[in-house]
Amino acid sequence: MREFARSLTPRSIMTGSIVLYAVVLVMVLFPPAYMSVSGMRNPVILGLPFVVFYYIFNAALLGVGLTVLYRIEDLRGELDERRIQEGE
Amino acid sequence: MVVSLGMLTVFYLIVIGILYTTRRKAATKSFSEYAVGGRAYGPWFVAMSYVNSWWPGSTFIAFFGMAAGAGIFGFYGLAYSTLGVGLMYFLATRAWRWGAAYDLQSQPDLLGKRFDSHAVRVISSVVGVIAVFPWVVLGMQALGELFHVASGGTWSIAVSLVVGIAVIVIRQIWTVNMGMRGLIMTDMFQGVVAYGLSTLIGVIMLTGMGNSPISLSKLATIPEQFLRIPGDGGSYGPLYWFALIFTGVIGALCWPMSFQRIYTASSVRAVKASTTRTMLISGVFYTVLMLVGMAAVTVPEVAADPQGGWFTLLDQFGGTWLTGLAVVTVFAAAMGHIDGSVQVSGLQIANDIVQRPGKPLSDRQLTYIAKGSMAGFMLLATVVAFTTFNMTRLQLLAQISYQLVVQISVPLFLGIFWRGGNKYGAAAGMVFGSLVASIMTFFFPDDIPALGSLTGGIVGLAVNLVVYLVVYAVMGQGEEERERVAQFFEVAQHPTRRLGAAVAEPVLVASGADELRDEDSEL
Repeated sequence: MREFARSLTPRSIMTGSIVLYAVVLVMVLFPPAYMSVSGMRNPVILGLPFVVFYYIFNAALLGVGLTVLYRIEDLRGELDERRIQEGE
Repeated sequence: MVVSLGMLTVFYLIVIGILYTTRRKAATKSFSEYAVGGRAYGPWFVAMSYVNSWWPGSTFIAFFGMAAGAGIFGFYGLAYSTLGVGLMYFLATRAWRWGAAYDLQSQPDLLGKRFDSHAVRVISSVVGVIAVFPWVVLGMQALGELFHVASGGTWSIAVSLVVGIAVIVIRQIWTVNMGMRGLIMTDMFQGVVAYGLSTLIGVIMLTGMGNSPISLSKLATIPEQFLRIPGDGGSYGPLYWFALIFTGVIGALCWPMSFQRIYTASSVRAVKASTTRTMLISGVFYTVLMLVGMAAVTVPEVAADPQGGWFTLLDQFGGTWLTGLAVVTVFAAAMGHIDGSVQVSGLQIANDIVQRPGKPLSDRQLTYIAKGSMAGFMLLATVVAFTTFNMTRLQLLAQISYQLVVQISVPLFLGIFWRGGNKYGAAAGMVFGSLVASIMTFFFPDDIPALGSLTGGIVGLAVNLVVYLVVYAVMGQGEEERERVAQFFEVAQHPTRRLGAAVAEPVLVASGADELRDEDSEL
């Protein structure tokens, strides 16, 4: 994981983050997207009607995505002001 | 009645006990210490404080009522809160570094610095304080309802209102005296009770254990009408759902309480870590609460009164003791929200409205004014809470305030991520956007049918954005202003250490600087 995190370029990390946020944004905010799941009961996933699962999934996707981003930034040493300054 | 009121009393005394314990530990008396706790807090404290200021007590009443009365409708709160809190992650580095470098205390402080304009700072502060006010009043009135339930209906609404307001006013003595430090310490305890305990109870109920009146299995069979998104048939247009969530997303960082959490954090790491934890706590809590609400749509007593559904369900599940717990969870959430609102309003009045450019007030003066403002704010809210009880127009004011506060987003987001724009466009955009949003919301409190059910706030935002861009296109930036903005953004490119109060210039981290506290310190 550490090697993978360090092999990424800042541009690829930024692009990935923006794409993740944009995907969730579109899925919950774009009228054709949310209207397409309105009223959908099936498939029932984990006991949840699909439209309910859809909104929980989107929230979880963003939460997990940002947690992974945090982990990547942590492994790259980009979160500690002192270490960045010292060039560690 | 005795059990519920007894549990409330025990909870209240623990909160007071925490405040006294914290007060003994408070070290310095600088305004930075008072306003943002000396920028000393780690991720869990910031996260819980954020969650406390995010979900008011009415989450268990109004939002729960949406899920229990209209099904999927309630989940719009999950969508906007997740996306909104997530935004904090992306602006954490810049906002925190500017805060630390320039000793910023509040969101208007940042806007004033970014646009080099006292007018922008005052306008954004006034909008924020006005927007928060109706929610404090509504929170106080909700406490009246709460004590009515806690007394088993034996206290009249009027008596319950007096008790509820008295309890929260007394609580503010410590909020005013101690500022952010006392707030954050109690937020942790209040949050565990409000969001942790309710989540645990919700999960147990969803498993169908014991005499649970609901279970997860009921969700798969609820009538289809509860699965339909507003705008898919019915009276709303197709853009209503978009308007609700979009306003929530961009409003997330416009609320003064939300943004101030960035400045209480000890580091960029703490802000980012707290963001992921806020999403975890908030997402799990709210999801469970909404699932409980949706599963309860088939319970007749809940269908008859969806907004009282949380109390009804817990009474059916566990009788007196669980009703007592239900009351305590709502009380804890309400208290956390009111505390945060009062604190940040007083802070902004002192720091951003009273303080004038070129005449900086001393830390002592700022602290006194902030305390006086909090007391005045609370006094005014108390009077309005009494006089407007049972007035539906107050709810309208709260709706307007939400559409109003998002007008800060144009200069805030564009100012943070783009070097363009100027102070004239920022100020004029907020003023015109707020006027349009208020007027439109007054005439169309819920939605504007002719615009596909968009809300007044969205129309105001569009006006706001156009004004911001047009003024910039016409006036541009002078050479001096361009250079100033470039330097401002340059500061955000470099690691920055926290400053004490009254330091105006950015100071970059010196190698091995021993002033830098542990990045992961909790306190």
